[in-house]
Amino acid sequence: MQRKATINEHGGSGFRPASVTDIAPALYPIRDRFRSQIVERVIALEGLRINVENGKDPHAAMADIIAIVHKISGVAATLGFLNAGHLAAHLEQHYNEGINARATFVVLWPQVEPMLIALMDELEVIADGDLA
Amino acid sequence: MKILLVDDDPIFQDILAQSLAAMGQKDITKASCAADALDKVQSQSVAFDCILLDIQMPGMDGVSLCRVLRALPDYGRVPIVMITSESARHYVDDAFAAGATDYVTKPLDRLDLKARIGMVVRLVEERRNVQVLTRQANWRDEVAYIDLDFDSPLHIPDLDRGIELLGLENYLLTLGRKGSFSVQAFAFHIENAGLWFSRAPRAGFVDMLSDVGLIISDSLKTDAVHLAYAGAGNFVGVSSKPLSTSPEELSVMIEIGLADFEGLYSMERLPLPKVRVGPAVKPPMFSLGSPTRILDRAILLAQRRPEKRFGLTAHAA
Repeated sequence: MQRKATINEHGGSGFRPASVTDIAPALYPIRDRFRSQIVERVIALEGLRINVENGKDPHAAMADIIAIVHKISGVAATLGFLNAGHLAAHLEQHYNEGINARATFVVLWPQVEPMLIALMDELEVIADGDLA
Repeated sequence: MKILLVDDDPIFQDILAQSLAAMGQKDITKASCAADALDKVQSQSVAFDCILLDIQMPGMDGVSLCRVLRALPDYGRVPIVMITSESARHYVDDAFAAGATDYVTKPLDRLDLKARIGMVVRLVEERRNVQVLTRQANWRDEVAYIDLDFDSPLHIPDLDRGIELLGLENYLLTLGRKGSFSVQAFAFHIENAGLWFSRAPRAGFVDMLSDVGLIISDSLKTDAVHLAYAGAGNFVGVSSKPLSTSPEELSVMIEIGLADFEGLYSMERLPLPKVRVGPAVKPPMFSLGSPTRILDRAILLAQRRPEKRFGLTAHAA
């Protein structure tokens, strides 16, 4: 599956403002730190996604994807990025439910990948966007 | 309040530390994993007052860490709050079974966090008052319970599967109305607890509760149960599945178990505790009331006369 920057499963393309809600001003510096790490995380996620696609130790790559997504899920919404937080939480939950239901990787990955792409797109919007 | 914050994500550590500082809590130590947390716990001359734990961490997870901490001498009753993005039912069950006091899900809600930390502060202050009394007098067991009120909930030391009533209430609140439909509550009422309270020294009364709690816990066998002492001679438990033993059978097993203590109690001229077992109580399907109401209902039914209680599954009105 091809990634198209700033296009996600909810539709819409091109530049759009980051989805961000108000947070306590004391958290602004932490939010800035989170944003500064986003590009690095998207690059890591994209590399892992390609590893899965290419069958390069896909189970280990998936575990690493979920570890990154878990961290985003825990932090993004608290820092005002509700959509990113929701996408990350949804992906993690869907994956964990699939694993608990003993779904095979071959079945699970095609379901998880579009969610991962939507999350990466949202993260890129946050990284590029204006938080005004 | 000395707080230990355990989370492997430095950004979340900072968010939490900042949120706590805004509530006036600035004495915070951060740890990035279970091993780091245990190092910090061991190196403190004065124990932490409160521990905030993430669940999913590399190495030992937060639930296992909670269990390890609970086994340490100074941490049997320290409030432990799980702060996690894991909301699946089994994580909640495991956390409270491991001894968690409360469970907060990410993303953090400032008002919710403030209320939970406020609860922890009150718990810590109450315990500090008891510690001061203990130090002032020299008779630890008696003085620690000198202010014990008959109707008050109490943490029963070393009770297997036991948690504080507050923890049990927080467990039900964490499950919420929807999640708590699948649980059932049941209670055990010590008929002559009032007599014990008036005749025995406070430490002796607590020892009796501990004996009864132990026998109840043994009688429940392998059932996954959270059990708390709710005050006034009442133990209350919550289980996700129907108990494998009927109230009648439990009643007989508890009576047999307590018979072993008869000689010990008679030396103190105290009667054998008489324990009534109430029926399981399920939440009503249509109710906007608090999920914790099934605890009150279970206790009420256990207190009723025996002939009206067996063979029923009651619903909290």
